[in-house]
Amino acid sequence: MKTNVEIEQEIKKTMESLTDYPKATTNDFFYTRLSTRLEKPENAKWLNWFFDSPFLKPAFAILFLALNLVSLLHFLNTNSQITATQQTSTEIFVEEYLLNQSTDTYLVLNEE
Amino acid sequence: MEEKFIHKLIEGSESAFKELVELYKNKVFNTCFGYVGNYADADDVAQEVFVEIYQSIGSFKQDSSLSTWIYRIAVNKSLDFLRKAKRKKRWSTLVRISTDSKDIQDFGAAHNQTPYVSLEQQERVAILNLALSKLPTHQKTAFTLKNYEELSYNEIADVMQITVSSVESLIHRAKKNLQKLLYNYYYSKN
Repeated sequence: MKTNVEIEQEIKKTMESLTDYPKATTNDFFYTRLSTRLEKPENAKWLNWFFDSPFLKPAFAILFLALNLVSLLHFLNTNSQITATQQTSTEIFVEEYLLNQSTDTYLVLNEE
Repeated sequence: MEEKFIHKLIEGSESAFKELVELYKNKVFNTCFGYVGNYADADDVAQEVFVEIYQSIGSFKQDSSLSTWIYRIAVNKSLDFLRKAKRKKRWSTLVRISTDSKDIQDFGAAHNQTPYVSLEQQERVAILNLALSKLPTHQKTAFTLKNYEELSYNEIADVMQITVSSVESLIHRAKKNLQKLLYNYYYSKN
């Protein structure tokens, strides 16, 4: 366990660590990369701003999911309505052409 | 002499701009490094500084020296970067379930240009950068310009547009706060 004196010594060394510390320098391709960056068109910069925003990306993801959910619910709802309508049409058709009745009755009548 | 050079820059002379980049790239880079603490981010920010210079040289009123103006842009861009990084970190903390403490690594002295610096000194600089990142903005700026760029108090006062005595006060407070932060760091390591 370090004593206070030892901790103070560590602090002093750390505070002095920048003395004679070589300055950070760029590499040889700095200007080449800068030139490429300067040639980038303005609208690409706008797109970068859009996609770099920390709130827009998740907001759009949530909106996208919500829209999909709404579409899915609407699709399911519409599907069930179509099925009900079909059943009603079938029933009407059956009634109209007496398809739910036996043909035996008709034969008996003809014999008389 | 500087006036002629500035005039050429305003006219859009590519050779003048290239000369400007060669003259100031390491000063700008080193300043940015003092704020962000790693090579890759310092490089990005330094690039942004020169893009800004390129785009706004026309509005340079010459009410200060060219170097003072460039340092101001470097400081502002570095602070902008730190603000964005803080927002991103806050957001990612909300969505992450577990968080690892990688603070020292974030400030890893990825100083690949200086292979002759001892590992111990590199680590101490990384720790100092971490403590520096916790300081209030003005203290951080004054300390960085003094200790990374070795600017005089007068030059720092010009860049920050404050008085020399304010610079002295800021650096004094920065040192005190850094010592407190480092004490907590080394004490908790015990």
